[in-house]
Amino acid sequence: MSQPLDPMRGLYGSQPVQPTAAPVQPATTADGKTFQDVLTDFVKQVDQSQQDYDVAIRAVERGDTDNLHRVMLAQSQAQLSLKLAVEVRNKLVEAYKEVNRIQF
Amino acid sequence: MPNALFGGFDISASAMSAERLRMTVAAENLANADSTRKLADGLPYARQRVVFRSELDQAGKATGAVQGTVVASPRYAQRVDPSHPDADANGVVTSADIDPILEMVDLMTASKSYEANANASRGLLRMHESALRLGDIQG
Amino acid sequence: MDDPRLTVLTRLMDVAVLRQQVHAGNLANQNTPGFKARAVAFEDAFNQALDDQGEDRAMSVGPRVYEARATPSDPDGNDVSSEREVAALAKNKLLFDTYAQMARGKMRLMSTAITAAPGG
Repeated sequence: MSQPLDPMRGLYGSQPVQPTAAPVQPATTADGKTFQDVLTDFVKQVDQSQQDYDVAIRAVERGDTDNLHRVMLAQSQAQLSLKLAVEVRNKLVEAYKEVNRIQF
Repeated sequence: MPNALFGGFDISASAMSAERLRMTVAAENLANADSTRKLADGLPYARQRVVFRSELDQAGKATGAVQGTVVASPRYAQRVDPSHPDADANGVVTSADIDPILEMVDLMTASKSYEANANASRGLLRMHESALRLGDIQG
Repeated sequence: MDDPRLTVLTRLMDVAVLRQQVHAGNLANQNTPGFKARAVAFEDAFNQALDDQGEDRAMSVGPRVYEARATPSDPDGNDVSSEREVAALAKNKLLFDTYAQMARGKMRLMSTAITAAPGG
């Protein structure tokens, strides 16, 4: 009876698969930021716009503003950035699923 | 502290109040133009006028709002008419020195000012409505 | 707020709100003895700064309220012309509406770009 294939040993037995010599470095942007940095910055921006909106709401609550347009712009900006965040998340999830579907 | 959002409205509203006071006073003057009947102080009706003052903030700067105060202008006209029921011991009849034409002009000027300030107020409301629409870009 | 157009438009709207108050104040005081009509200076200084220093530096330019002295005075010293003030208010309102519309338009474009991005 032939032996079942041991995935770690492959067709030719002997040595298990070895990692390559050097670990792969994450890619960076022109100013040295990794994808993780970019994502983190992005999340901070979205969070900031939600906070700015809250600040604007509180100013209106206190009767502390003469510039209604700034309040309303903060509202739209918060909506827009959240919308963008949702789209980016959706695209990332899609990409992740796509990568998972790749058979090795 | 007054709501800063309504600063512009307060300014126009103060003006409308002051102009309305001016109209009321002018109408009162007109109604009493020939009045000779002596009042409590022994004198007949005295012409009234409204003095406008610019409202100042804590730092002494004009806020834009205005205040109107009623002031009496005790000037009288006198004529000799012994047969008049309100004639005094010397046959002299006293009445307020009121020119109906002046009062009518005041009334009309105040009315126009009132309208102009009301329009300014409406314009500000439209501006705020325009600003509100900035909050919803989908609609 | 990252978009430079939105930043500038917002500042212009700030100035328009101030201008409304100043000219409404002039109109309110058209019968106040000795009152001098005021105006708001901004665009000349702002545009100059834009030309000389660019948008970032220009944003530090602020509006300035001053006595216009552009009309003759009454005997009591009041120099408010209600026609001028009404015209100033109308022009100002139109400008504010325009700025608001453009800001709205910009954000709608951004919104469309977000959802219509290719590569699904």
